[in-house]
Amino acid sequence: MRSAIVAMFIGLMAAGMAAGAEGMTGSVSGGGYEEFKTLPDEMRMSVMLQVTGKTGEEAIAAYRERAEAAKKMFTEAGAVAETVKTESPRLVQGESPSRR
Amino acid sequence: MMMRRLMEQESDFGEEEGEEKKPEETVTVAFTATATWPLKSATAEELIIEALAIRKKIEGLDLEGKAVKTPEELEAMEEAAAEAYSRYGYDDGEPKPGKPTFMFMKKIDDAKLDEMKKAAFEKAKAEAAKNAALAERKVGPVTGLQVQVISAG
Repeated sequence: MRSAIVAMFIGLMAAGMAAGAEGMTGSVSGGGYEEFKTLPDEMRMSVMLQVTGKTGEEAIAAYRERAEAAKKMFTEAGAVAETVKTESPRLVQGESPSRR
Repeated sequence: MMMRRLMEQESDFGEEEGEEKKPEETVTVAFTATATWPLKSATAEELIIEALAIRKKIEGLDLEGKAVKTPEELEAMEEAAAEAYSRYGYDDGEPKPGKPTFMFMKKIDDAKLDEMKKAAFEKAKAEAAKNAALAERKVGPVTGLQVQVISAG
């Protein structure tokens, strides 16, 4: 069960102090929170995928292929089509961009 | 994998000096894929069953593309993953390649959030008034306000 809690802390001037005793200032604070318990309506999945190639070009081609395959697999497995996304690739291991 | 490394090391002994065999260089790239499944459960019990079924379905997918790889490619992939692991490491808190992580979500609309803020404000105000009463004072205008919205599992 997911719940969202709104916590609120406020500071209020003690008006009585200002009116009753000259030269006295002060404040008083109080806190309150409200909780809302509810069931989730979505399940979000995140997975890191890795592809390898002999060259950078080969690795990028494999990435494109795997990204497309992953999108197809998740959609076929019941994921909401618009939510299926793949991020840009990042280099994990191998030749550095400066060497290419 | 270990066996292959040992064999490579052994074969190196027989080679002439200066003819050391260089390991084959490979390039590995990683990327994150995300997707959302709708949940229809009306109770916590139903939710467990529904979530586990989706999870099982996802974990049964060929996320690593093993089906389209040759044994050599699979071995190279395993070695690349081990190399990346030993070189960069994946802490326990970090995602591991091919291992999905899941999160339950529920969007709370603005009207509901406003309603909750208002209720929390009234409670905070009542507590401040109570504290002021202890000092035989009455509260005046609000001088500061701090709001936190926390999502708890």
